[in-house]
Amino acid sequence: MDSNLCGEIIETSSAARDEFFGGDILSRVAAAESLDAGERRALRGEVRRLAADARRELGGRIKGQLSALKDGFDEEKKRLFSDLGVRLSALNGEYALMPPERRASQEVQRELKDRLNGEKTITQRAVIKLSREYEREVSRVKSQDGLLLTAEGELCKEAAGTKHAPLCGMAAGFSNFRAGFSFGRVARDKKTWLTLLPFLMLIVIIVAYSAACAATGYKFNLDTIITYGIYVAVVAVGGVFIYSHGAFDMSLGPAAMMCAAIGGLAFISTGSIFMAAFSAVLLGVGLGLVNAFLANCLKLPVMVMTLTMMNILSSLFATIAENQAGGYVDVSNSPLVSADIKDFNSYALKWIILIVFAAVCFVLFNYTKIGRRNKLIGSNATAAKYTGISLMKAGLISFAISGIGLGLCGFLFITQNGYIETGSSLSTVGLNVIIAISIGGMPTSGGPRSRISAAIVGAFFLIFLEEFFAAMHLDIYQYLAKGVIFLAVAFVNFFGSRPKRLAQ
Amino acid sequence: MISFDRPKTITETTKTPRRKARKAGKNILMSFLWPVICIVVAEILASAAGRQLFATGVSVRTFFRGLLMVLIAMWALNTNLNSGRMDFSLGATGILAAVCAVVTLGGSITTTGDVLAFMFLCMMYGTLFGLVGGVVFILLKLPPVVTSLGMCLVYEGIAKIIVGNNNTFSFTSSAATGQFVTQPAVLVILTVAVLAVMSLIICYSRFGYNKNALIYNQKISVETGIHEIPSCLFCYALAGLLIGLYQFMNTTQLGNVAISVNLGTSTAVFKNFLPIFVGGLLAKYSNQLIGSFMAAIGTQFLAQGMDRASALGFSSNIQTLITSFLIFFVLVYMVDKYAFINWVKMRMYLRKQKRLGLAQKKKKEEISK
Repeated sequence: MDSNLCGEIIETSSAARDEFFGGDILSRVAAAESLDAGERRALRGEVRRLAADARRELGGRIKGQLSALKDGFDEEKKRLFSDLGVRLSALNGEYALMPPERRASQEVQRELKDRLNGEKTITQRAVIKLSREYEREVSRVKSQDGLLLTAEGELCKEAAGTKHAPLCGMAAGFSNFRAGFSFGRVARDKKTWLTLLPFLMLIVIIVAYSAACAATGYKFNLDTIITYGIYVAVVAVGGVFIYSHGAFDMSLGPAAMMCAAIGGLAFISTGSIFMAAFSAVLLGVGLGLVNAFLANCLKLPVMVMTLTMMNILSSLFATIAENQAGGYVDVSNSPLVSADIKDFNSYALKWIILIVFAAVCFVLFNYTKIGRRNKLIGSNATAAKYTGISLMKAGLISFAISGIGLGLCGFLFITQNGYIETGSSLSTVGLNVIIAISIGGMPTSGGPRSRISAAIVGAFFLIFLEEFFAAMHLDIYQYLAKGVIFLAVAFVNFFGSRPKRLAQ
Repeated sequence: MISFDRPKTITETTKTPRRKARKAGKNILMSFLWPVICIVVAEILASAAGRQLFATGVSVRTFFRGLLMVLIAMWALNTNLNSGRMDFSLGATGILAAVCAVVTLGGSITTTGDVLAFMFLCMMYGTLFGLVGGVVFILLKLPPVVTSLGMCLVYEGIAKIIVGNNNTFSFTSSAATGQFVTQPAVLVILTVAVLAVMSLIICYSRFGYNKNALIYNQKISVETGIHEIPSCLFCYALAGLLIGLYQFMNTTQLGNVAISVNLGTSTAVFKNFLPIFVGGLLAKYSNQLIGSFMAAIGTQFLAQGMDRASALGFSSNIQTLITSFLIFFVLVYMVDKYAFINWVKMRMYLRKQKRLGLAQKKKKEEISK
């Protein structure tokens, strides 16, 4: 596409400065250091007035340039299609000259069809290329506004003698974003939809839940739902580090129960809430490290190992519970300590822990070596190994981070309930984490598409799904729905990367 | 994923009769080692608790029923597991099959005819649901773990919808229902039938040969003309059939079908990991079938011994703990018994190298000074 169609385009902020701000104002700004504060403010006001005039002028120019571009694009597209028409008719003419019996043969017909399709494909590709060029040019033209705003910001800073011009900076950023953003392109991009799908699903289920509550008069404490969602989300956020390797940890539920029990018992022993939290997190990290040792040092198959670990932790918890009065770990109103652990239960604390933990994990996962290594290992462990990544170190760190999540979840659970027993809601956290991560849009095979947001979105989707069925008084259907949604989302997540042969 | 079968690479022809006899002796010894050790341990535990391993004839019959159930469950799980497919949905398949069978029979299983019909229906529904799981796996082409987790949730969900909010699905039964599978004749017939069918299928059928080939290398096997999809479907159907039979025995024993959700059904089958892995170890001294049979006998004796020694503190939780730790030991041995030792040696070697390197560097620095 001819880029001269729209005339001269401003490419840099200094070019915008030269073009729209006269030499007089530029020299006055350059000499602004000698002025007092009032004069400087007045000079800045003058710069802004000039910039406003320039933006109006530039707006008109951009409109004209865009219209010229559009005309050029349409004309070029028309030319391509008319060329195609000419070529197609030439081809048809060429074959029409053949003797009828030869023309009727299957071979010739196939050849003609292939050649026609080839011509169409060439044109289609040319149109796609042209569209991309057009979008690029449009973005270039629109970005002039941002450049002008940047120039204005720079001049304002110089005139006022400040280091920052936040309003101009924000406006320039927004303008640049607007110039590069194309709704059509975003809407056409499958990846965007795949990324947005979990968020849309979460919005839909929340709306459906609200509608169901309104329709059936179902009343449930939203705090309780969100609290369980927070438990799942905290464990799932840590679990993302393991799942990004392509590994499964089936022992998360019983491990969280153990952390809750030990945290509670530590509170009874010491009377300190910090010791309770510390012991729960320490045990979580310890359990994670044991898993990592078994999986990475002894090379045990992770699935079988975590299933066995699940049995061990469940039995250990049951043994601890059996030895307590009542057959469960009750740390509320203990005569051994003056305070009650439930006094430390706070809805805000739960949110703070989730947000802080998720933020830390987000940074670790997206902006540090830990996350990048994990994604590469999940994508191709052999390649990761030969690029010098220590699989063992990565495994230890991942399981340890996951252990922190387990400890935090256990601590929150015990402060909320004051007791924990076999078969409590925490025992199903492990399964819910697998489903939540998958529903959140992360493939269970890990790799580069792993993300922390999947854990949070998936966890809350799952909880609202359960509550939606409860609100509809169709509780028994929730399990089937969970299974179907899990399979459907997993299918969508894996769609582009499914192997040709049967997976093993 | 670990494969539990090993190709026989021994060149028999080069061996003398004496060496052959020695090899056979070693194989027999190793095959019987695990059951013998377990029997001795069980006997010691029972004696320590001041009880007999088998007090009455009923306990012997219960033991053999348990043994048969362990055998069936482990073969059901191993059918897919040794092909690299972990199947979480097996327990749910069995439970749904039993629920459907009870519904088909109108909720009454009182006569021997009813029990036989129930057994047939459990196996039929088990095969059907297993096949459905296989078809879903083939169509979706997702990792087997993901598919089986999804199918487990779906089957549990369907069972829950049929049963309602109850955690058990009861039916009208009689004394004959519970006693059916503890009758010596029935036990013998079932054991012989299961052993014969499984040995035919695994060791002497085209499916068995193809399955073994696919286990070792799917790509090469497919390129040599083996169809992977029918083999996979057959595996799922066979696993479903076996789990249907397992669930029949379990249900007639309990008098109801226990319904679990949220993957609760999978733990019942995964209890049999120990005999599966021990069977994998013993298989190299005989064959897969005999190896797993010996492993199941040993495991069942161990469980019996611990049961009898419950007075000494061997509660069910402690038993699970012991079994789980045994699984770890067996796994470590199976995967690579020298992996950890080699890892420690390598760390020590690297540390030594580093130390030496540092020492040399210091020396060089001193010389340069």
